[in-house]
Amino acid sequence: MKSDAGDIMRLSAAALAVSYELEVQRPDFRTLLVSGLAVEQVNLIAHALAKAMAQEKPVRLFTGATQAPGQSNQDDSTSIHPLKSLVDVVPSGPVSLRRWLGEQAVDGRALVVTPNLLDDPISLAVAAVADGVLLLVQSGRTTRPMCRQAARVLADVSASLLGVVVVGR
Amino acid sequence: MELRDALSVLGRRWLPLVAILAVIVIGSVLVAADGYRHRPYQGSLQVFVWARSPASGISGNRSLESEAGFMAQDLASVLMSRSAASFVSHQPAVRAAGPSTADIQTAVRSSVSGRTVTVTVMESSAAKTRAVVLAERLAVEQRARFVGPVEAARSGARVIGISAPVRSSARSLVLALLVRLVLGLAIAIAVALAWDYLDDAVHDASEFERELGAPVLATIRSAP
Repeated sequence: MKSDAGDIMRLSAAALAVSYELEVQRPDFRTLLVSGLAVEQVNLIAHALAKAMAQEKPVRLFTGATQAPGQSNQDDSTSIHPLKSLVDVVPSGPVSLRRWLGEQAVDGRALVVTPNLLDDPISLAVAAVADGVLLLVQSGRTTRPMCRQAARVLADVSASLLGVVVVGR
Repeated sequence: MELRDALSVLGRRWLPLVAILAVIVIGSVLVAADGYRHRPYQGSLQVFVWARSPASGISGNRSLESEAGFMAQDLASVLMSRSAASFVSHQPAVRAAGPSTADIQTAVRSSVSGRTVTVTVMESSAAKTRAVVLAERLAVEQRARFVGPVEAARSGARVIGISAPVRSSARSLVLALLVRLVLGLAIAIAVALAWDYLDDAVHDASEFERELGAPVLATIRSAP
């Protein structure tokens, strides 16, 4: 998709708004699952959100989580430091999602990104242990059955759906 | 569904709405234009009816006044009958006036007001209309052919007016056009709403909130 400065600014502004809302709703959250329902640009949006959230605390972005949290041993994260976030995302140290979830003492926050909540089995496993879920939906593409199924499966694992971000066409 | 929701749906489904509306508007205007070009001629015949004697054993003690009203109804039925239409269509003047757009029975209408029967003829040409009106007058005068001499003798029928053929007013065409346009708009709106109802995709932030039970924190118009 062709992007321009206006699109990037809009995305950044939306990410800041979401970050602010989450901060107000759950100031103590540590791990957030960012997942989509028929949205193509989940990683891109999550990246922008991580940058916005990094204004407050360091944020670790897990985008390559393809195994259940208890099984992943690889370094599948990048970290976004408050100062460096204005420049770029830097590769993180050797921190796996399992270690992150297990080590409560590690400072900062983590965004675990899964492209599709319903198709990716790790999504629900992470949702169950994360402090909250942020769902990205696409206007005109995400269907009512998808929404109902997502609400049902999240309720089944007692996940807390903190909010929704609507991506327009 | 609230009005605001409906307007939002129409804004979203503007393409089928406009497409259907355009087809209906163009079709309606073409039909109206064709109707205007080929609008028929209209002529009429007024017949006054009176009763000479009550029909014994059938109408009881009815007055001649009310008897005349019934006879006017009978005359109207006779003039609308197949046999009268056949009589009219076989008149030389009618045949000479050219082909009819419809059969005579369809072209002739009658209405009764008290003792007066009004026969209205609509034909494609002035000559044909005039010929049919005159043939209808002949049918009135020779009504014994259709009801028999005894029944014919009980009533009197006199033609009291013949109006010259005039072209039908365009008012009815305009009215029909307006009705078509209003119906077309209603159909287009119904199709757009039905389309949206049958579409499973969610479009509004409020609907996402309702379906997911969580607040919409932001809307990104388009991700780069």
